[in-house]
Amino acid sequence: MLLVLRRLPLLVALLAAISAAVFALTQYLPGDPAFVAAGGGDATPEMVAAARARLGLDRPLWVRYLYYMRNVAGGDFGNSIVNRRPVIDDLKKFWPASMELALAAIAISALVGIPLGVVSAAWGGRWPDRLITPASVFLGSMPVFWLGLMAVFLFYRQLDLLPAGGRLTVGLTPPPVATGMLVVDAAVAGQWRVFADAVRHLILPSVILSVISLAMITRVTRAALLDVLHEDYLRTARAKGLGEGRILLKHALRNASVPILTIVGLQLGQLIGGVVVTETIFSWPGLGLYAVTAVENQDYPALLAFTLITTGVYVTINLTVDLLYPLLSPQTRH
Amino acid sequence: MRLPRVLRGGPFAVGSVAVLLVLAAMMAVPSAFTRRDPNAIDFLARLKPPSLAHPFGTDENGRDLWARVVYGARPTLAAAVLLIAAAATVGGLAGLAIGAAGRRADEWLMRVTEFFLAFPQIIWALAFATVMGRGMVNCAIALVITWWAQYARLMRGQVLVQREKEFILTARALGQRQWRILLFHLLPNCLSPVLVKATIDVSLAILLLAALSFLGVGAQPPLPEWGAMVTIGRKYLLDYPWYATFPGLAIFITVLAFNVLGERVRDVLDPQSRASARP
Repeated sequence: MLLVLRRLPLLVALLAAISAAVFALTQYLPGDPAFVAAGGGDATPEMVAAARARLGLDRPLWVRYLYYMRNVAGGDFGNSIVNRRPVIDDLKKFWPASMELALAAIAISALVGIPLGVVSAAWGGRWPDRLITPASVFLGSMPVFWLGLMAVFLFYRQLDLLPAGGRLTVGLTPPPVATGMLVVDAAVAGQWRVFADAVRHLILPSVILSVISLAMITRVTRAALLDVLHEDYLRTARAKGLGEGRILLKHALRNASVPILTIVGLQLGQLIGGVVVTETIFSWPGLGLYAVTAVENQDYPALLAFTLITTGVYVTINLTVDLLYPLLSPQTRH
Repeated sequence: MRLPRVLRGGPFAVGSVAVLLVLAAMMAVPSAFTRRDPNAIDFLARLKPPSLAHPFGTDENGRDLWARVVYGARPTLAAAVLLIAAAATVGGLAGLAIGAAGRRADEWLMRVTEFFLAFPQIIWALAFATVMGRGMVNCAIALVITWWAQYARLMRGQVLVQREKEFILTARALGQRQWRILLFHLLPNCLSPVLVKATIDVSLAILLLAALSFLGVGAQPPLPEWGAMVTIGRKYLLDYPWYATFPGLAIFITVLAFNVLGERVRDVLDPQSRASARP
């Protein structure tokens, strides 16, 4: 409980600081948002002035910031400068796609990374370990966006196995919205053809995104298992005559689970940055692609909202992991 | 004699040192590796596949991609190395000060570092570079603003351990001034974990800066930075795949070399970590 009280102000301070910093910086943009909002090239000075007043850009900086934060607290992130729709509506539309991608990626990296780490630790120093450990360094050194492009070239252009981008084949009707995650929605609606198509679109982006955390999860699993492998209770288990597989999976893995779960949680936070890159490669219509488009258009209400929300999610995930830690590991509970 | 021990780590360690030496040479005298001008436009030779004349092919303006990769070593690596050097210096000195300060100051400064550690780096850099102006310099500044805190905490931890050691007590007993003890006795004894972290962090910095270029806020054309080259190559990926392949391969090999070297430096400077990895 003490930890929550100590960390919660940090979350608030961080959001306030980042929003204030980005908000203040946006005021010095080289482009003039009022000019863009007035229609750009043909706008007369009167039209620009009218747009400036309409957007509230003629008031002092701190007043605008306080107004902005009051609105944010009420769920209003302002309107996009480009399409004039409320930013929050766009965010609601785009976030399930990002969520689907991030969850698929973390699932892949945990389902592949943890077994690889276990194998690597169980055969520590022998050939499986000597293969997996350098391979994880190898994989961790790849620029994800480049790996993604190479995968598109191979699986789309050369082999024609998987689509190059998007979430569904053009012409296919999306399933009725339940969660916004197409794979889930299609399964719920029982539309298996749509489901298969959505899965086919999800494979490349989620596998590429999982690479970021896969190497880390493998290494932490290996290290955590190696740490417990020469504990006394494992010697006892062996002396009792238990099989090696049972010792490894039931006794050792359970005791190594705290650092493993922690790294999986922390990697979920790290994926947020990767989501932006992956969505750009695969034209995946989620928050990341939305943010990059906002960057191109200098749509600062959109960019600010994206920055605030992703920072909030990132800090909340890390905070949750910190809070779960004592629950999982009785030794650190005090 | 540290360098030879680094090299005694097997073929991977030797290979990574060799790669880094070649890269350093490319940064110093790029003209020794290619006679072509990386910015020479030749519209008759647009998007040519790799050949003897153009080992990596040519880009959409007929510029030689091998020359651009060679000349790209300097901006790509210099930005990453300078960024980490700045973060390690600022963070290291801050950590030294935190470790040497009293308990109350220590607690406050630790709160401050916690704050900076909580930034999602790539999102922050994306927002910062969008509003401050695109380019590698602003991306690097944004990353330094958050990265120094990691070094501050690492250094503080070291100082807390080292300052209880006898040689510090001796220096104090001999009546040396506080700042002399800090700079000449504590600092040198706290450096090795910082060096290990910095080596590995350079590879992270290369990847982050390249990703920011890919998102459009990093290096701007016509600068031959590797990440930016992959970004433009993406447009031609399906028909002219070599364009995105070679600059990306350059990033990969460089990052790999720094990672392998970083692990090797850790083994040499901190044999304990190696012991725990072998049951």
